Amino acid sequence: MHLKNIALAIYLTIITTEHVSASTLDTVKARGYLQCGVNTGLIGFAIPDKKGYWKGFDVDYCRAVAAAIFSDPQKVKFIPLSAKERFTALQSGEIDVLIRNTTWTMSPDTSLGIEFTAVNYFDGQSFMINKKKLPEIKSPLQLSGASICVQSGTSTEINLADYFKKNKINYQPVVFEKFTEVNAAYDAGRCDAYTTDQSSLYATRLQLSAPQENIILSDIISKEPFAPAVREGDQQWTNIIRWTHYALVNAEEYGITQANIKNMIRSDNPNIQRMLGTEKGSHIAQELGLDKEWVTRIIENVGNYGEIFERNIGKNTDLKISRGINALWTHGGLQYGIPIR
Amino acid sequence: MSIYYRTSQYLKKRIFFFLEKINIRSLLLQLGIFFLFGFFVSWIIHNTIINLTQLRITSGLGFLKMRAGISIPDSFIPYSEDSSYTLALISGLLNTILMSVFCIFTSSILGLTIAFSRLSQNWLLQKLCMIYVEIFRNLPPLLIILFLYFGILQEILPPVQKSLSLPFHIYINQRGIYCPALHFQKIWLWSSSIICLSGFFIIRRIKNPFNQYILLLHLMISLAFIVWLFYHDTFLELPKLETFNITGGRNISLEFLALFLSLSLYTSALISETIRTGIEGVNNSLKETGLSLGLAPGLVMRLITMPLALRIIIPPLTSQYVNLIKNTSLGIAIGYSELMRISNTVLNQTNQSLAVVIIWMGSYLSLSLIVSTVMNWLNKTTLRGHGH
Ligand SMILES: N[C@@H](CCC(=O)N[C@@H](CS)C(=O)NCC(=O)O)C(=O)O
Repeated sequence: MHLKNIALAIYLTIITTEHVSASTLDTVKARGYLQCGVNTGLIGFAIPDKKGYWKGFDVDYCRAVAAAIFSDPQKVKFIPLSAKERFTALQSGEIDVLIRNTTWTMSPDTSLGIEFTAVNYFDGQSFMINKKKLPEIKSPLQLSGASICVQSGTSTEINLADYFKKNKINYQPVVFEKFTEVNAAYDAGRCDAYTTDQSSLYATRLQLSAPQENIILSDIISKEPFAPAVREGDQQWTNIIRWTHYALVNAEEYGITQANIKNMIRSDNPNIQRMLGTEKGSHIAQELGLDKEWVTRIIENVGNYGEIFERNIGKNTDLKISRGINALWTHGGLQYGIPIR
Repeated sequence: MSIYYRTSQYLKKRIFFFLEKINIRSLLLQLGIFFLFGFFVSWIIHNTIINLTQLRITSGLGFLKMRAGISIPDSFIPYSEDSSYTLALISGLLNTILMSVFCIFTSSILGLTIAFSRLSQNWLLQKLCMIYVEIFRNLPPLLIILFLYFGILQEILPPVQKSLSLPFHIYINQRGIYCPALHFQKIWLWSSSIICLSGFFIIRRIKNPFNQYILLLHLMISLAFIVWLFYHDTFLELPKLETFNITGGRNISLEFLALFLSLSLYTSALISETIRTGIEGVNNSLKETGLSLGLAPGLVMRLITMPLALRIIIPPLTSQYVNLIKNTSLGIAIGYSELMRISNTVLNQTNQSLAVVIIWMGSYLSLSLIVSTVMNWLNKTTLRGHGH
């Protein structure tokens, strides 16, 4: 099967170590870099460029964490993981944090010894079809009898089955393990439709032989809140990942950007002072195990939430995803920075 | 002598005899190994439980009864999203078995044909077969599968709307082969097989003319009965083109086809080599003796060479079959729903690595053991059949 699962099985049976004692932060600091589990190659979220330099929304989150800890955003080792490997890699300690378009659902959260931190992207499942071949299709409800390509081991696979059962329509699933194989099969015409998270569909479309011939249906059939995940049991580490996200969102709310951070440090707005560690006697950061300038370093290196979004998946990128429900709450979206105080 | 002395002598003798027989040292050794092994196993189990609780991972076999919620294309047994994970795994196992049986059958026949062609006097045939063997034997099976599926079948077969239509309502397209399905009631199947079997027993007992009449009568009555049943309960379902797909009838998916073809081609090359070396391994003087006795070459092959060659062939053939079974797991690469793919999906949905890996390994191990046992038995019978 997959080596990772066998390795985990062996690991669970043979190793006798004390998992509890060492704190993840100390381990990461001693190692000198962060081990971040990301996608194997999803445009906009995590993909290495020609020179092997990783880029993407999730990748920037990894760099933000590295910046908070080391003040060097490059101190990250990216570990590409497929859908089936991701939780195992986290459980076995191969990675420190999983930031890989992973949907926060209850059962991994409660039964796998892992914990989700905060939703950094609200997505939903949708369908892609070839509009040249199927010009009349406007909704997945018209896909009765169609062959549908899907990647196995994802929440997507279950949603698909649920949706068609609920609507009492037949379909023929064509299920592949590897992302590249789903793409190839859809591109070759083995399936009439391709289903996965909408954001992934935008990314996948770019890799097809004729991207402009394919459209993504606007119907959303599921809720896919993506959240970084960590191992359960190390509250300090969980907090670091969780508050990195809230720091990014709050920074956007307060208008702190990569460009103006130098001036913002001198701001007399108490909220900003508290976040950037310039407030007198503040020791919020110490409780995280970091120093006062952690947010300053994050923004300096990767920018705020909005900047990360626009740089990787926003309107000026190939993906052209609009903020939609990922806009700040002040703009009618769902991104809401929990107060840092 | 006192009774006491005699009894004690007797007992001593018995005990010595006993000790001599069982060899105390080997007994102790075995006991030791047994306890060590027992200790090792319990240590592993204990360790696993501790690790699982420390990592807060829920485990156990409880998930097997849960509703699976995933859909399985190509299921051989009735399966739906509402079935349990157990049924999903069984469906995968059956598909693995089905694929293995088909491939073992085809690759054996193909392998045998090629082996004989390579041993033939026909130069062209010999060389063509050699090229075939060298190509398929030296390619990794995964490459053959991916190339056949993505590179050849997907490319040359037409899309659904332009399906190739063959006689007898058979259609071929990019998604597989569609043919008419014969639907009949089970009673038809049962009654005709019972009739055939009874006919077989009657034939075996024909000794006098009277029984021949009975046989004739039996044949006539059963024929009439079968035809009657056939017309009453049986109907033909033809595949027809709909908006997206061809529906109705039997469907052999492209994934099944690609896996079946590539594994059969690959394994037949290996098997043909096994058979060829087996035949060539038989001592030449034996064949010559047969020929000089005036036996025709065909008879020499059948009576002398083949029986002796089989003894050389069967052991490596067994491992070829076992390898074939393991290779069916490559179907995962093109989405054929065999055991590996299903267990992977189950694993991903439940995240029960430990349990699923154990079930998965156990299944392949059992399949391999079954094949080895059958082949060993075959080997023994061929040995016995020829005076050894
Ligand atoms: N959000 C879903 C799906 C995540 C997912 O794996 N999506 C696919 C997109 S088709 C992917 O990124 N695959 C890349 C890979 O497995 O290498 C989940 O968490 O289960």
